[in-house]
Amino acid sequence: MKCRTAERWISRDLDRPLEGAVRAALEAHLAACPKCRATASDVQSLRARLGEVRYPEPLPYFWTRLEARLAAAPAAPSQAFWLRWSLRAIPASLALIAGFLGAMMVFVPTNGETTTSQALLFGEENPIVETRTILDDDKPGNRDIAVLFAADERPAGSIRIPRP
Amino acid sequence: MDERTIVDQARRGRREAFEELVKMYNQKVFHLAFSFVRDRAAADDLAQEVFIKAYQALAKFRADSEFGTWLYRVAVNHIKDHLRKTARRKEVSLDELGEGPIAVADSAEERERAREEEERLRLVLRVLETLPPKYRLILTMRDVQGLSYDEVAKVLGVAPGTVDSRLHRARKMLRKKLASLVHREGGRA
Repeated sequence: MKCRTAERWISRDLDRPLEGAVRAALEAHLAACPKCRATASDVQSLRARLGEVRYPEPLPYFWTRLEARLAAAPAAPSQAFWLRWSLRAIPASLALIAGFLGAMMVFVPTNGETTTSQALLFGEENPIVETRTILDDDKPGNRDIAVLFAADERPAGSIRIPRP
Repeated sequence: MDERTIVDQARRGRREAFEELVKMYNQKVFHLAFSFVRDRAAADDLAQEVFIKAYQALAKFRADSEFGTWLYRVAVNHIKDHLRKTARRKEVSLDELGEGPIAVADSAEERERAREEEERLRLVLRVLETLPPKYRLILTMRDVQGLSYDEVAKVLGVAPGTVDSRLHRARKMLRKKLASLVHREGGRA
């Protein structure tokens, strides 16, 4: 084991004790290397010293002062508020969806209410059948338009062109 | 009452429960802040700000993690922000470091030993002060405050391997700087 690796393992051993082959290898290295033994001793004593550090206490009346600041601080939305809001939002959303679906069912036209043109459009029937349907229609206007279009379909030679 | 119940009550807006949490953690948060600002009033102010932030963000706290770890994360982020804003480092005030570990000494010999111990401790703290913030932070949390290895990883939001290498570098740096200072001053840490 190299000294550099040993140094890393020495530090690691303070946080997560080494086991098995790694521990054995480190111990063998420490037994043979005085420099790393000194490092191990330094690292351990420094760690112990840091553990002895005592910082001062917070200033007196910490909570009393904090309470006053909390009262003055802008109120953040509390969890309770958001929880209440989301709990109300769930049934409201469900009701909205149900209402929408209901409206769809009520307002979508049924087959009995479709007009002749809609029935033809949706039915995709044969054009000849469609024409016959139009001609058979009761409305005289439709019949007249159909006759006019039929006149346009006469051969070109049969049309008389007026001369000046 | 266990901590989880207290946290739950605090989340529901019970002020007394939050007070309980503050009493449980104010010293730890204060010490973390003090290790950076080295000023009792400034550290106290920072600790109060951390608790205000925590109070306002309590709704975001997920009950599946430890409250202490979460609070530490809030504290670390706030202290980092503070350091970034102030961007100036205060010199260590030796009078503010608090009492050393040995408070009672009877004989003159014991008093002398206690004084030496205290001096060494202050020297270590002075050197700790000079480390880059990320190394100072990890050493303070792990070696001074005694947070567990896993807690440190969670607070910093880093992988265990990163904690390993950062701690190793921090300790190595501290040791080198201390050795060099002791060498200059002709003493022994």
